[in-house]
Amino acid sequence: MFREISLLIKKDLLLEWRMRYAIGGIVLYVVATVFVIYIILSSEKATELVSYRWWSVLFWITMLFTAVNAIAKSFTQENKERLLYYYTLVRPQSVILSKMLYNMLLMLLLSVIGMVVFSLMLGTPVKNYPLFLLALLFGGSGLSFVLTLVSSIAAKADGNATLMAILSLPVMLPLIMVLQQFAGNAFFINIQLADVLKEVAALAAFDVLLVAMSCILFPYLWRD
Amino acid sequence: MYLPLGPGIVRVTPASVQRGATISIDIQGYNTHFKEDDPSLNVILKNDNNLLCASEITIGSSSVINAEYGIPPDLRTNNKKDYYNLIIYNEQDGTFFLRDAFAVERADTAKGISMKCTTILEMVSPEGKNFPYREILYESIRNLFFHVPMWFTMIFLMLIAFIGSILYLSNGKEEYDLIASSAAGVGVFFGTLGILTGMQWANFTWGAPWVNDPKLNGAALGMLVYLAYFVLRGSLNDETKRARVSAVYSVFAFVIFIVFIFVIPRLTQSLHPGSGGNPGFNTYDLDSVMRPVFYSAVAGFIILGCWMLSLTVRYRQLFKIQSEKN
Repeated sequence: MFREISLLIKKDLLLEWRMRYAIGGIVLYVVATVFVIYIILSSEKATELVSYRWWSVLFWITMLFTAVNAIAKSFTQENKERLLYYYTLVRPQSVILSKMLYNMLLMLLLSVIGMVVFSLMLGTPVKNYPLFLLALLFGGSGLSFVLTLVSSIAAKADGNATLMAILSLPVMLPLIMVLQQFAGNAFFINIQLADVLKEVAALAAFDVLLVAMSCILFPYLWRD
Repeated sequence: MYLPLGPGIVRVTPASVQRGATISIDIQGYNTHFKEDDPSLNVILKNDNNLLCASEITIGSSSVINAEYGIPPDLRTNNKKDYYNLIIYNEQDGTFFLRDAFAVERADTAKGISMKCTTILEMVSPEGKNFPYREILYESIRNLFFHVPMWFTMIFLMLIAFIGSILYLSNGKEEYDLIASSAAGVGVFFGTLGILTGMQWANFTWGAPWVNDPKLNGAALGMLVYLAYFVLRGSLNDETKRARVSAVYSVFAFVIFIVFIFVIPRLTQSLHPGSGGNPGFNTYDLDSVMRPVFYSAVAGFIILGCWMLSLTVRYRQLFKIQSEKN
């Protein structure tokens, strides 16, 4: 099973490398979104007024929509014949787990890029970087886990982008709420890891729940 | 529904006084029966340390009285402002009170001795059957019989949809998909009613139809999830594929919905009773008069929901047979 997963991830990385413009497009999406935010704020002469709360709101909304766009294609890019070929070769759990891990790596990359671009254009209120990176790790993985399963559902309805958004936004809401609360701690210097253990545990439990549900539910989606 | 509310105290003016003064307080009651020359009438101010008896009581009307208190200058106070509960007793209304109704302010820092008062009061219920009087809620307490059972019914129907989806995934029988999707439809209907009754209630008690509260957000999330479920169903044409894919989404969404409405409110603050440190209705609000009405309302609404579900399922089965005939 581990061999299957690592092979499938390798395959996804190779595909991504061959279609470099796709990942470039998503990175451009992040940069362009932040630039739009910057332009709107500066035309209102409000760039200095962005408090850490607003920074956090804008950051997580950007991340949310980036995630929806980046992960929407994870099942639509594979054609039916190729999926049928996997069906004869590997377990369905390996397929979904490899996609989830791959999307997690992608989201981590995108959220780090997002953070850097945000810091460059809007300044950064983040004081506690390890804590913020931990939030990005849990947040990115949670978002990518939800979106991987939802994208496999949306792909069955021919990968309609609106459908992807309306199916995934409500189920991402609990994650976003805990995440925003948790990441908010990173704006204060004096918060230690021990103070936020409750939220870390909630996020980790949520991630585990998502992985378990995806492994149980994906086999039913897979057969066609 | 026509049972009156129990007696209560709406407001007290003035609401504070300095130590050593003599003060006459106007008390506005609600559904009370104050009478002239009622020997049982007792109006006292009490907190953990002190008990103050009224020196003179004047009756304005059946719901307005005026009580005069001489606050001793050496009254023991613990804080700069000591709050007192106002407790009123008479034979017909029993005992009722307003928490922290009146404050005694300390003018100087000297510590006095505590004042003794011989009146001892026990909690006595008013005569006849009443719904309890609660501050903020007032007459709207009856909404408990509509708003809460509607949410229970919605969650019950969502649970049926969840179980139906699991059964469909495990054995692929078409009826289960029919039951699951119909239950989701009726559940959304009850959810809408729950939101409408809740908005009206919130407007009365909290001053706005929509406030940022984890339970409200949970309700909105549940509605969004099941509306998205119907959009998903609408965008799939093949029947078995529609049933299977929507069942997967329904199971996934229900688990997250449950996590959201039962777990998240315990992590954050809520205005609703029973979460975020607020006591539940059970602890003091649901008294023996409301309880039977409330429980039968819950049972009644759930049975109504199931009946509507069975009608929908039968209608859709008949519709299918009819369209196959043509």
